[in-house]
Amino acid sequence: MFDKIAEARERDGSAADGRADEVNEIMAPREKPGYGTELPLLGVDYDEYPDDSDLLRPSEGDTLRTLVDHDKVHSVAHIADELDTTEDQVRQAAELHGVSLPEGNFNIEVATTRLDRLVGDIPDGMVSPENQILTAYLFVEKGLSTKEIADVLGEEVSSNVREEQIRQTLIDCHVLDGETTEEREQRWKQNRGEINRPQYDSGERGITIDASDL
Amino acid sequence: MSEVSTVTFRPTEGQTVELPETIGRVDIDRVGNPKMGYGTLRIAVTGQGGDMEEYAVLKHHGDSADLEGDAQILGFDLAEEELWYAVPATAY
Repeated sequence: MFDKIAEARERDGSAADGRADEVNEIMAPREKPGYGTELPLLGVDYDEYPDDSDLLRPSEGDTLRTLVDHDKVHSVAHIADELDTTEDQVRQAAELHGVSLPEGNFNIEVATTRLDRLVGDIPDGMVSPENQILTAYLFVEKGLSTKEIADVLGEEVSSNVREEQIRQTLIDCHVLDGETTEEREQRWKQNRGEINRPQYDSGERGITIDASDL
Repeated sequence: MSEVSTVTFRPTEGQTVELPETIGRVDIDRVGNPKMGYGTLRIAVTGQGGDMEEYAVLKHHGDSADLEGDAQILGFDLAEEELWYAVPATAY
């Protein structure tokens, strides 16, 4: 792994050229509910999607039916997310179009995650955007970009992981160049000033503060 | 003598209302105290004959629109710059 670090540094966060086909396959865009998220479920570009008002028009009944029948859609929330509208609007459209909506409000699909496929079984405690070993492995060994790592880990921790977080983790373990978290904190202390811990002199009243390095 | 009926309602996008089958006149206005803001949008549809038909009330925001062939224009809300129209429920 270490022999690849120099090469990875030059990428400065972008994905590796010539990475394994398996990785490309795992990281290929997928159909997933959510407007603007990876591939659209309707088979057309996102900018061709109907807006809120259009969804209620008689001509958009097939749009709703297509989403309801899609195997990635399991709830009204999924449909609302994909169309970038509210659940109330979806329900109103469904009523007009005579479409039955899915009743579930949770994702019942059980599938191997991208992280599982990339690294296999790892301790749960390691799955974090702050874990230097995991992020470095994904970046150096697997050739993922910092954006891809953020997406993969975001799925695992069920929250938004920012690309900047991944980048900082890689800087902190010196895989990428930049100011480490420790260096930044030190710089902040120097700029803002920090009073040393007061020393109490048992022989006198009051406290003594060493300000010699201010 | 012929029966005339008027249906008044506060439009909500996507709602369904029963309107006279033969529409003669549509009035759209904002009612209320101007000092309190724009007021409430109200639509009145008057028609002859006693038969009613169910319509879906829709709106469009923009300078132009392609409406369904059997769409009934209800009016233009100048305050919000929105076109309100209705389409027969049978169109769905």
